[in-house]
Amino acid sequence: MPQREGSLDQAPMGVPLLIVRLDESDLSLKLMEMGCLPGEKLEIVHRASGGDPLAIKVMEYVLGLRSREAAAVWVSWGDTPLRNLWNPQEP
Amino acid sequence: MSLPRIFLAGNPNSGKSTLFNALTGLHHKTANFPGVTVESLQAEIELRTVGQTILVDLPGTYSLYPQSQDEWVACQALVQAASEGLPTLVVVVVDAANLNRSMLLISQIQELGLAMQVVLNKCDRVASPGMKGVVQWFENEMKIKALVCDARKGLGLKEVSKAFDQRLSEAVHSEASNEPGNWATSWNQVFGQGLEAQNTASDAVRARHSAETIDRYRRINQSLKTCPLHETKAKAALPNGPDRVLLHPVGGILVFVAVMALMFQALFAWASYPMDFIENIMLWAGENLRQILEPHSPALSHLVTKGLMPGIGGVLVFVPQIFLLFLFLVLLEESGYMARVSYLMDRNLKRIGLNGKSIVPMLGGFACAVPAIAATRNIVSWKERLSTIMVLPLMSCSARLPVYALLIQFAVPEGYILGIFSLQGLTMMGLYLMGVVAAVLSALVMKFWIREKGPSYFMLEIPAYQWPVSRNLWQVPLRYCLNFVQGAGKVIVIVSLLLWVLASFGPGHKITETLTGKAPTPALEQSYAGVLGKALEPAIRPLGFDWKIGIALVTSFAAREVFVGTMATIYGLEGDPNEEGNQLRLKERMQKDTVEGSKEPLFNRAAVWSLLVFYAFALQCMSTVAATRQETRSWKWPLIQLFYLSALAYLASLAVYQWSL
Repeated sequence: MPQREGSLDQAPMGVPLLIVRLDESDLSLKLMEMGCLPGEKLEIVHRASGGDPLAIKVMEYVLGLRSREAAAVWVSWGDTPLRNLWNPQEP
Repeated sequence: MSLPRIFLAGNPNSGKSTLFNALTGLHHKTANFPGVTVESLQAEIELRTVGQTILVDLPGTYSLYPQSQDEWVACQALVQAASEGLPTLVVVVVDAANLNRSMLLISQIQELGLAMQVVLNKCDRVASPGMKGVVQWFENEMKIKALVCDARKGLGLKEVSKAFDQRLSEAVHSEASNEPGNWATSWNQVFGQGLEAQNTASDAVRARHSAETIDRYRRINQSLKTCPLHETKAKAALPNGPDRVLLHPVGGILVFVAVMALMFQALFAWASYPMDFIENIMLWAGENLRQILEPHSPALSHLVTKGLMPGIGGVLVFVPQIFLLFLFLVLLEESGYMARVSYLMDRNLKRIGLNGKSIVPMLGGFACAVPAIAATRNIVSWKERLSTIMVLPLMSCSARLPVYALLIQFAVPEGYILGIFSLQGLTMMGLYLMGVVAAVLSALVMKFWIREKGPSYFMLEIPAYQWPVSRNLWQVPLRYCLNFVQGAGKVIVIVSLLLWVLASFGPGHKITETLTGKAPTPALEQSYAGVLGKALEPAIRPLGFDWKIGIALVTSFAAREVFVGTMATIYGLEGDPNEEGNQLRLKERMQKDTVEGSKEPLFNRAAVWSLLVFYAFALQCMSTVAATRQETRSWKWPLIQLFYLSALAYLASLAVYQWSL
């Protein structure tokens, strides 16, 4: 699969995703506290019809969130996942 | 002297409350309003060396930077404890399968400088031998004492109390510092005044918190590298396969409706036996009391059997239903299904201006609106939370049940459809449904009408399915029943005493003469209650109600359930005392009553339907008004709530009566 990037609400289901960055918004702190950090791996495990809400598996647990919130998370997927931008020395 | 305290903190779903229940049993009181999920309970426990200690179960939170009201309550308690200098132990309960995420809260609490203990809970889900290494890691790397327990199965509880005792006695003997640390001081600057202040927090503050969170996680990940977590393979919890159906957009909703239907069918079928039993006991006790008291003091006998007993009976008769309702709610919550319903319904609830998280308070509203209003605290958006509170009283609470049950008999004949669905049962379901529909429509109005700003979130952990803990299944409902009997009991006893006084005496009758039996008890019509009802009659005549129902409306403003007791008192007082021997049941007496000056029964179909609709919509509950006042911290919202629900009830009743005449 070629390397792709996009916001979490547009990302495919059931594929390992890597968080690249979070938008600067009032949501991002909450998302990070819940484990959605740059460099963290996640996967979309459920998506309601219309794409809202969706459930992601992150840090060994399942988190349900609205697509508007997912839009604040920028992820990459494909063969060679992007390096963690916050922490370039760590994959 | 204030007792030493232990705060139980931790992420939601970490099993904090299960640990709390296991450690305290039934010996606790609500530190705040009780709720299904959002509760802050406290209890006194006895530790071996420290002695009496207060154990507080704080609402779950993911970090010390709160976003919702319940998180704020937890954070504020911890930060304040850090500056008070009282002997305090903070116990962070950690879901052992979710260590990574819990470390954020641990690292923040560590900086508060309070005595601390980590409890690695839910160890049924993690292979236990490896956990020793994790405990070691906590002590060596994090300098925090940790231990393993399984609160659900009650394993390791002795070690837990022993560790609490040890940590706390160390804290008591160590030099307590009253100086809040830098961290607590800056927390107070942002959140000290409550959550409202946080909404106006500058971008700079937010950016600082974000940077801090990233930094914390970076350090956590660094230290976790030496943690032998990989040796603790997570055992599979119950399979998540059912989610294919339960979270399906159509299938999921069908299952939810079926679960609700089952809940109500079971509630009416199962609860009726203990309810009849309680009712008969009260009748029997009343009759015996009358026989004992009557020869000594007719006035006292009258007060007890006509004033107090119907009131107390009216409260006790609810207990089985409240127990069953809470049992169902605990089952749904503990199994992990409730979180899925919240997730499933968020999309639809968002459309009407509510939140997926509103579903828990809304279902709780079927039991009682008072704890349900407190259970809205985990809704982040103030507007969504406010809308939820405003429409909650439309969910038919258990206090309406006896009113419905009594009145439906006059409106709907006995009989069955298809041989299994009782007509009266279906009517009952219809009334519940009517409340839900009214709640949806009101929420829509609120959505456009309430002008409150603030972020709207829906982020909810969807926990793995698990079997409910049997202890919680009886403890939580039982605790709730006790609360109800104490709380509602007081109101009902006072109101029924007041009603008895108003109904037994009247203007122009000397109270002392009536009491000593020199003068006859005035007919209800001439009593104070009668005068009051008559004064109200012109306003309620168009709804099909007479002055006697007017009295009931007035008394049941305090609490709806008083209606039945009032009816019992009114028709008890009205009846010929000589007829007492063959005491007619309330229903028969009400059936015999006619509209004044005609042969038309007073409780005719149109009037009864109108009355049912009135009770479905009206906010006749002082406790709800008080709860809304407490949660919104103003008189504005409870008054608006009272006004709109009263108007809705009046107009709907008017329409029903005029249309069905």
